[in-house]
Amino acid sequence: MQVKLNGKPEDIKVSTLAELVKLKGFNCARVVIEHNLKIVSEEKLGEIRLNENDVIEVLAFIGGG
Amino acid sequence: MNDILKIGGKEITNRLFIGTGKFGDFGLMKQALEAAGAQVVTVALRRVNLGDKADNILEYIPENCTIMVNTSGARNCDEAVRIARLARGTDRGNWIKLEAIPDNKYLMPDNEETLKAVEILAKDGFMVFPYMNPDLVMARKMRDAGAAAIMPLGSPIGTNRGFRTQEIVRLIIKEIDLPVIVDAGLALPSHLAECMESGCAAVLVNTAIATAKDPVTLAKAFFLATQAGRLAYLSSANDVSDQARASSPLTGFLRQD
Repeated sequence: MQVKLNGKPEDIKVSTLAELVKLKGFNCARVVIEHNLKIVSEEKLGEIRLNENDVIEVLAFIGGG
Repeated sequence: MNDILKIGGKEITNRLFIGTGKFGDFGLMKQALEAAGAQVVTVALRRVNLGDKADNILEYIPENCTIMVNTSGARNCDEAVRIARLARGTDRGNWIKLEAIPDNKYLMPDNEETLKAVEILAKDGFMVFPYMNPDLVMARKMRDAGAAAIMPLGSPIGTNRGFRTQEIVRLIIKEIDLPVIVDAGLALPSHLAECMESGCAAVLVNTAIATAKDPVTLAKAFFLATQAGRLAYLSSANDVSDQARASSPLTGFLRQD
């Protein structure tokens, strides 16, 4: 299925958000993850089943004024 | 002198807030934060690039610092609120420097959109620090909406033009019973001192420190200037007069009449 990850279309074969995060190597300790505009905590990642056209944002702190 | 700034549920003694953008590297940023004794530090939230192995900026911010997350990139209320909520998802983001900036040329904030976001976020339990184009009526509305402080711009972001909005900010300081923190455009110790002499509660600087030849030394200079301005504000009673007033007696031996 295809989802949008950080603004880019991605063809994926995994079925949960936890699997996607693991596959992409995101470090959960330093990112915040949004699935279809809802924030998902680290412990809930495994409960989110991914569907076609889901929108996922993975964000972290950077320098800013 | 025991001069504590009570703000956002915290007690702060260092009135120089520092932004963390544009530093050459995080090590240098850390040294600058330490040199200034920073207690409030701003950061931003951005998408993580795939395969990004960049260091975690939070590891380079001294532990005693309060993190203020900005909503930079937001062009309106909805985007700013979304970023604020994402920031809180990291559990470091209850202090929000609220920016809603639709204008890329001058980076002027949209006060109306900012006010709407203040209302939403303050009700939602955030400590909201709205970055605004100085305007007394709007500052009053932001206070009534639950802002923790008012953050008027000194001059447009990154322009290094100093405290150009002084006349209006002075009115906000006088009329609004909230801390006023001048943010943006401050580039010299004298700019910071001027803000603090006017009665600002604090100042926020990023570009000038981060892009300096020697950010560590300049951070220290900025800290001293902030302190000097604050002490002058607390201790000075000087008013401005059109007429000269002699500081030495004018009568004396030169005139016999």
